Amino acid sequence: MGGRASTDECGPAVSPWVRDLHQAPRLSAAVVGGSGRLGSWLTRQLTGAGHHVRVVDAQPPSPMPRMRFVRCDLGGQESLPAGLFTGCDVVFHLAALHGAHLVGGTDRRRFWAVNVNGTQAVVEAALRDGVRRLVLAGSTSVYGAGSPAGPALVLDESSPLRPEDIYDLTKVAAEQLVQRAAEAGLEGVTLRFGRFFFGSQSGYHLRKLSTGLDVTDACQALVRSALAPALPRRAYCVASDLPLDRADRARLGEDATAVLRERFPRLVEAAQRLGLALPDRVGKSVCSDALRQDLGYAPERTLEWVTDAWARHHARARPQPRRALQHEVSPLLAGVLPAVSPC
Amino acid sequence: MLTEHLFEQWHVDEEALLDTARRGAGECDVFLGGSLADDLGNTGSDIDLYCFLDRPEPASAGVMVAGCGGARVELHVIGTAAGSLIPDLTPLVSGSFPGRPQWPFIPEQFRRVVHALYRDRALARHPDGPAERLRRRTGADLLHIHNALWSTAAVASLAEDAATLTGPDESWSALYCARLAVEAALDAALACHMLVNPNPKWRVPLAFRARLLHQAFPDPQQLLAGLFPDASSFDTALAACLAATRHCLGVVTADAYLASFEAVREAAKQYGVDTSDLPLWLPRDEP
Repeated sequence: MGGRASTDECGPAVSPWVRDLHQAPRLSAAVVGGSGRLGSWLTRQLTGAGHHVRVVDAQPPSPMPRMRFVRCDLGGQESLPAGLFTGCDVVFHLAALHGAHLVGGTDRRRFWAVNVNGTQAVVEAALRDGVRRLVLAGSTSVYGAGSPAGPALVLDESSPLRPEDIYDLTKVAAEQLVQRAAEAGLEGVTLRFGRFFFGSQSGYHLRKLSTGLDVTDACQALVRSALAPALPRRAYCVASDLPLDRADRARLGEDATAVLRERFPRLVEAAQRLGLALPDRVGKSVCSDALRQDLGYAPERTLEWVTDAWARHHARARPQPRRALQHEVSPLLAGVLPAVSPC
Repeated sequence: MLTEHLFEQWHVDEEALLDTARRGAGECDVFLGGSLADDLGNTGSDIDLYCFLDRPEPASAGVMVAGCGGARVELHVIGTAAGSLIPDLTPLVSGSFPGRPQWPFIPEQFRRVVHALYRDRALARHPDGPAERLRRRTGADLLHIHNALWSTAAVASLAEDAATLTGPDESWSALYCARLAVEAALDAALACHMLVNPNPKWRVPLAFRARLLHQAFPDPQQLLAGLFPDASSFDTALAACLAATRHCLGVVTADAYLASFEAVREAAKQYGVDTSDLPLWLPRDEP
């Protein structure tokens, strides 16, 4: 497990986790929230590898082969259809209301209805229908805000939970339901994902300095959780996982620029060429070491990957007249600072 | 009655209410509270506005009364010092919730403040203003879990009280305990559906509303028989109370999050609640 993308029978530069997914015995999976951002990525990967997927969502997904759609609103009054997960080896429970819904004015009580009561319904149905494993999409926001000043908080599975808003509170409660179900025999695990919301591409990637990750890496973590023969822990942190030790991670809160210059000089250079502002500090940094060690998680869309992508972008943009370059670069700047600082 | 309809009748709108609040309390975050926050008001209701100040004092300056359009407005002024008097409810989910004797208690004068935050009908707020800071500091969004636990604990205590009232002259006291247990069990069941009830007079309308939404909720006839038992027959009255309490506790134990608290399962066991609806991963107690 783990390692870099390689060429094999699946085609050029196939990621090891994608290869593992193709080579795994045929799975029958349910993806609750399968029409959402992460769910649709996952469904595409699973069906593309020949597995059968039941998408459970209030909204229909894009049609795909080997995919069946079951319309279901977890926050609604009706209970889940009987036998919803019958025959499924694994259930991915990704459906939830997020911070964006809170900002959008969604009734706070609906957060509990969807994120907690909805999880109860999914877990009960999984137990009733004899599902072996359930993977819940959790959040690193359960650790609360980062440090406002001074060293960044370095977070892993042993860090204390400090839920703050209704989203955090309901994600912690949902985790607890899955953990209790695990005590009753369901193999349950929570993946505490960092942020993979795509506002602007620069903000999306720079967020990886803190808790962010690429949606494809989030997808990898889900697949590895499904394929692993055993799950040694009940919860894992999932982030882009910077190649920094804890001391350097903490220093990101005091002088991110210095750390980036020392450890990611190419990134700093690429950002400068594109006119992107790097954050002065970040408030928290999430380690995914346990997921690496236990399940072979190896994020691919790392800052190195971003650096290469930006360098390619610059190389393409350089021969262009200045006006064209400005035109191309300016959208990248949108949302960098509000999205990244403070984390 | 829908609060918007009442505003229309009183010739008030949010802008006028905000103006009233700020004339009385100064710059503040303003939340609608009380019965109007739950659309349970009537033409005789006051408009309760909770004004959260970004100043340490007062913790609670009592109530200022003002007029706005055709309505009477009560301004409840809350300073940031209130945060030290309202318990933090976040341990309810963060795994550090204490045993029953140490359950956090919300003082009466602050229960409605937390309710206003919980219902979240803001007329004015800042993203990181005093109201939102108080919400985060106290875990106000967990009020329904807190209510459900406290009410269920009250149901259990009342059962213990009733069990001691066995003397020949004590049967009516026992019936009274049984009737109070219906109220507490109903509050707990309502809280399960996030209908928190800081005011007893809302209990029945909220129960009727809950029944419209959730078939598992007791039907109104059964509830009313338990809440207002026919005292002409002690046995019949007691049976009606017990049936209503059991049904409400069944609603509570069907909630996996609440049923995971041992105190809730104990209360259900005391009343012989049918555990067939208990979440699948919890131990089945014999009634």
